[in-house]
Amino acid sequence: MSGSPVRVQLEPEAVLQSALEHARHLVPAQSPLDRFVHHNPLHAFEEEKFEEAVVHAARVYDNEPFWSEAAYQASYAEGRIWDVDLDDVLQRQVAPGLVAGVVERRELVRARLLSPIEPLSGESLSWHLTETDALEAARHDLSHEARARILAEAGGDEARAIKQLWRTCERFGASLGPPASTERPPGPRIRDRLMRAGLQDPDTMVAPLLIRWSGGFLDHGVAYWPMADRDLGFYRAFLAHFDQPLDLGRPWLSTLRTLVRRARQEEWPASRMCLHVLGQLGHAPGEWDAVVLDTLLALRGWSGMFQRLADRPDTAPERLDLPTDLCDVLAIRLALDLSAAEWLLRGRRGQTLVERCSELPDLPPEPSGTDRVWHLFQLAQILGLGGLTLAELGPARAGALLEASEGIGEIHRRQLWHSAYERRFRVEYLDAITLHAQRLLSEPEPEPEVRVQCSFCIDDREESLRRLLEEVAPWVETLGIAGNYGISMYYQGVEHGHPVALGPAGFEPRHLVIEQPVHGALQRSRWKGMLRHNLDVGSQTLLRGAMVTLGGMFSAVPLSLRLLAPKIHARLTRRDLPTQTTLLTEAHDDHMDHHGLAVGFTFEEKVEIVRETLELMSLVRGFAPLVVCLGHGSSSMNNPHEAAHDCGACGGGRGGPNARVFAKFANDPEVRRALARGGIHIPDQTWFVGGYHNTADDAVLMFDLDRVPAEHQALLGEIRDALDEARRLDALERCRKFENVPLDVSPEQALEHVENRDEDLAQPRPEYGHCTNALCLVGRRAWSKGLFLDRRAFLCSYDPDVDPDGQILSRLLAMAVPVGAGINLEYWFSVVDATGYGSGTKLPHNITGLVGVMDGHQSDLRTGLPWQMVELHEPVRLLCVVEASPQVLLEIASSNPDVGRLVTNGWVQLACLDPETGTLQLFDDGAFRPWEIENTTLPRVGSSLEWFRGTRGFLPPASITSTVEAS
Amino acid sequence: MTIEFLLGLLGLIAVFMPVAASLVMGLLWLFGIELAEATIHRITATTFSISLAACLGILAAIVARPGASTIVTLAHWVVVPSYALEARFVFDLPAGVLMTLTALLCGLIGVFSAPYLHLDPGFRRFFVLLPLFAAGMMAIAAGDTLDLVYAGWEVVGIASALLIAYFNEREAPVRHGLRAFAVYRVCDVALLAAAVLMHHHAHDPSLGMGVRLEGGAGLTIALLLVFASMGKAAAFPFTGWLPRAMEGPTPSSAIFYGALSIHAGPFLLLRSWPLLAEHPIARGALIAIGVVTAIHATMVGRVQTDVKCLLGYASVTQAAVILVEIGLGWTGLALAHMTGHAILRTWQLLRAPSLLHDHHELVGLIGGGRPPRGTLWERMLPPRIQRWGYRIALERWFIDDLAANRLLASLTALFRGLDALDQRWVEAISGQRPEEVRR
Repeated sequence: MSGSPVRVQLEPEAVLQSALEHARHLVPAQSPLDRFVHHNPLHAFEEEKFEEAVVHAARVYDNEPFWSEAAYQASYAEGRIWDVDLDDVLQRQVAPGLVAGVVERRELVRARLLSPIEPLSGESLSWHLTETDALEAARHDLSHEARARILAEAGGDEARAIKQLWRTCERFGASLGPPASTERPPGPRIRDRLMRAGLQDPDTMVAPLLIRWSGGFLDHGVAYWPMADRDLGFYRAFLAHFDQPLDLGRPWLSTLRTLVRRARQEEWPASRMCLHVLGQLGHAPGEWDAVVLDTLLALRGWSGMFQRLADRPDTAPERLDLPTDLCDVLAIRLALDLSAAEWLLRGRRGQTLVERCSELPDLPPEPSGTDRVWHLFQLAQILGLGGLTLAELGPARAGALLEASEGIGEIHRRQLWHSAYERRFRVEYLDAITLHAQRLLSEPEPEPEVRVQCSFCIDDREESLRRLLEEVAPWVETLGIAGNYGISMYYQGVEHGHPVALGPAGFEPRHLVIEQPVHGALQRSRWKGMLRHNLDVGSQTLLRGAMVTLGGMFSAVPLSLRLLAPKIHARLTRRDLPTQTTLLTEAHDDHMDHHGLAVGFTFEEKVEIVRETLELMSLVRGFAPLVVCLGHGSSSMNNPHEAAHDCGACGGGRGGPNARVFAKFANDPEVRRALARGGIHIPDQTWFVGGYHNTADDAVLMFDLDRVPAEHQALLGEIRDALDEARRLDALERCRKFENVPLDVSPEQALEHVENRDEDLAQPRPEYGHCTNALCLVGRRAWSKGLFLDRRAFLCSYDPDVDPDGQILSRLLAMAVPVGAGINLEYWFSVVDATGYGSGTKLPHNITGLVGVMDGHQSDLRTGLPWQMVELHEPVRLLCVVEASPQVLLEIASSNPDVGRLVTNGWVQLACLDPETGTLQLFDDGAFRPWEIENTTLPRVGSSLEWFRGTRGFLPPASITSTVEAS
Repeated sequence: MTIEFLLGLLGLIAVFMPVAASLVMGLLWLFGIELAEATIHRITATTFSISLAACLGILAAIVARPGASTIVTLAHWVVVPSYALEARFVFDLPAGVLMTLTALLCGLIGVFSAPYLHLDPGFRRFFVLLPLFAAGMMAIAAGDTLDLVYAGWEVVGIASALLIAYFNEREAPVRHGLRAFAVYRVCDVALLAAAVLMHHHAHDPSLGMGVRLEGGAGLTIALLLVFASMGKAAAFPFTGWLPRAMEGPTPSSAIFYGALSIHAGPFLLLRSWPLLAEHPIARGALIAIGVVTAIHATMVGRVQTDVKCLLGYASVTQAAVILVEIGLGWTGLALAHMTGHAILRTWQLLRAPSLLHDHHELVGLIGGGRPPRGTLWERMLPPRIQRWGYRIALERWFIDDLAANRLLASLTALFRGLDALDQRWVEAISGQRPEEVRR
């Protein structure tokens, strides 16, 4: 007997915890804004096949699974989907057969894809029938034959033919029966029950209050008065604040107040509150999974931020170490939901809430879906069936036809469209890669002497700069490597107030590197900062504010200057930082700073970093005299999502310091000696230089140039000139996508433009970031060199010759595939559902608590990417092309679950390139199959400039041959 | 050419440039002629450049000849014996200052918004509403009769409400636009009443002349004007609409609620100073409202965790201080304060989306650690009181809830009751059930 009450006590608790655990995986996992790292928004669904997962997730989140049909149809009209693509998709995905003896099933599906039937029923249909010419004229998009056949039945009289058809359809209507319901099953929350009864939406009462308090709790430095008791966690802090006298004008909170008092007196933990409310609401434990999830998803951005800070407190803008348990949020939300429901159901019959709920009426849902007569009427037109023909078919066969058409549901159509859309992309690029490779095999290019090697991040935005640099300076070999250069560190530069994390987002760095001026100590302009801060905060207060704002006239100067001449204002206000600095990278006897970080790296760590990084970029032999290693980042004004443009491999940080540290290690003679023992011989005359590419204003900086040996200075000058020329062209290539830049600007004007753009307060599109990313090439640069890829490709250097057992490739793919897929899928979903998965237009975004953005005055925290970042993007899954054999790839996929899951479940597409024959195999349905090309020619042009000059939209790949001619 | 003529000419140019721009762009849009974004940008920039140049001319003339002012009667709208509705402008120092501010800030906002709203579906709408708003502000600044001020007042109100509801595909902006509009309307009634009373008692609705009325009429008008100014100035208890107005795109929030329309109320009172000066009761009421609003807004502002609401409450605080200054008779100070505040707040609101960028720069400058925040409160008050005060501030003194759940609920109940009464009455006299009558 003694055991049973314990079990009764424990069991609901366990059910609740499991429901919470389930929800924890499904709330958005976006970090605070300044640590924005791209990730797959559907990470929790990666165990499922892509096509099924998007539909499943769309149900869970109430979002869109694919682009809208209209968007695909527009793409079809623009030539981004061809008829052959539709043919292929229908062939593969639709079973053949005759429907109702009238039409081939595949033709029926094609007709449904190309000719949309407006989903009308009830009132909207009667309006449409009376107010438009639907009953007088045939559809405007009919083919000639269909139109002719229908009209022929009424001797060419269109109105009569259509009326005749409508009457037949109406006549059949009686025998058709009602359409299958397309209603979503009702939600499990009490709110859904109240809404079905036509009552006020309780979320409109609960959400504003909960947003205010969540905002107060998660604030990392906006409010002048921070919330008290935050160390107790959200639940206890909320109770402490609410268990206070005076609360006016909110009669709906009376239940909450009672609950708060009781919870405080009886010292309920948050889970006890959850259990109590779930009981009051009458939810059986079997429903809890759904109720808990839906309750937390009601304000998913806020819930997600609580969870993210619990998982990764190091991503907070400031280490406040707030206890942010999701259970706390659930307890408060449930209590508020209960309180609102009690208020809305006050004065109704019934003792308990459940009884009162059961008395509620259940209003019939608004009619939705497509009226069956209308559907048949439209379908008959599309198929070219006139009234007489249809009548001949008889109601049974007409009904079968209609049913078959109804079976081609909206989501199914969108999925087919999407397959066709991605196919077009595949054909365009895989064909181009094949043709380019075969050209290289048949007419090998002379290899110019390599005088400089220049490594870039694998980032798709570096594709153009690499290509242009190679065009400008054929004596440069470019390489691609994840932009953190194997280093994960906290870095405190001279401009930084506290260390920033620069390393892969998956884990927290354990090392600290500090930048110091070479001459003297760092002069901080503390007084300047305090003055600015006091003016700023002062202007918001009462008395100080009166003084500050009286002098506010003077801000007319910066205001006008910044708006009219952004670059000049930026130059005038730029901080004066020491130009000559040095990095503290040496570890001294396990020295730890007060956060438990190791200051600097030990000798062994340095050797390991350099060895791994050189292997990963396949640079283990043939070193040029000068190796330039560039990290990258991006700066912009008025852009809450600024960090989203930074280096993903650096966890949303700016990767210049990583390249600088790496170069420093690689130049260390001791390190080189140790590397030589391991088989990597860096010649003594080779020198590494670290640098930084700003992808917004296309500036390229190089570090520690004073330490470059004298004999390299001439070469250094040459590579700097070449990079200057390349970045001017890069700015030009980027400007072709900016609609407000004329197409005929010169490279110099383009550079000037992007420099201004980056400092412009009024510019919501400082750069287009990863927009249009779609490809990931892993292999020797030789295969992609001279191929115009339109800034769409991640480029990883890999040489199978130095990796016979696939060990390096395995590590490379374990890094590149999840990162590339994360970026690609975040864009994919933010485009496909711009307000569901994306964060909508950024124009009303309002930064809150330094952690996220809301829409306007108050809303859920918006996750995903803003519309201005993704507006040009084409949602295609990342297509990885790897120079390796199918066996090696299959082995990697099976031994590395992170990569394997993404590949086998279709979250990325994978192809392999055979370096002997220049042919490709595509991974499809569990196996690699040879890729058969459809295009037989690839355009050849003299230079990138020649190919992109004067164009705006997407450009197909082209082979650039100027490098050959020049040498 | 006399200075009066010059003032009048420049003033009319300044006032009518935005009117014309709004009309031209609005009509073209109405007739389906879609101007290119660049063309719209050029029209806007030209309009405000010319308008600003004219305003600066007015200021220069007034500096050259202190105290200069002129009154221009443009037209008589209605003339009956002993009664006239006139479109009459006054161009003097206060008018010049507010007109300059309007032209300058609207012009800069135009420059800002062209790239900011590039490719946005509401681009054209915004650029019709911006000069319309400016035209309204010009009428408030230079209107010599209450009738004209009222016209400008309404135009500003409608333009504001439409811009708050700019993102009309979402529910919240539309709801909050309507809310702002409702608050405006409640307070506009007072302005209209003041205008009518002025006509009735003084036969001259002029603000600048300083009417001296016998008995209670003057006081009534003064109080009505104070009440009228409370809506646009977001004074207590009407504060709630202002943070909610931050629904539109950043530039419109900046100019409307940070800079210009929030000062329309104080400016009206500044204009009516000769009348207010006569009535200590009205001035006392004004000071009381200003003080309460300032305390309310600064307290609520201190707990705001999002940058736009933070700045919104900061604006209300200073607008309230300006009301107090006017109540105390420091009109010169009030005018200067208004100018400085408008420009500074525009600058702050425009760069609100840079908050994170600026925060990092600040932390870098001060060398790490948290930028210091208010500690006075933590030192002086016991934790219990702190928590209590925090909650009251975060809930905005409950005024929104009181308005929605008590005032509006009572009004709704009252109207429902009246409706029921009406139905019963209809039933009694027609002998039919009301449903049948309706059929």
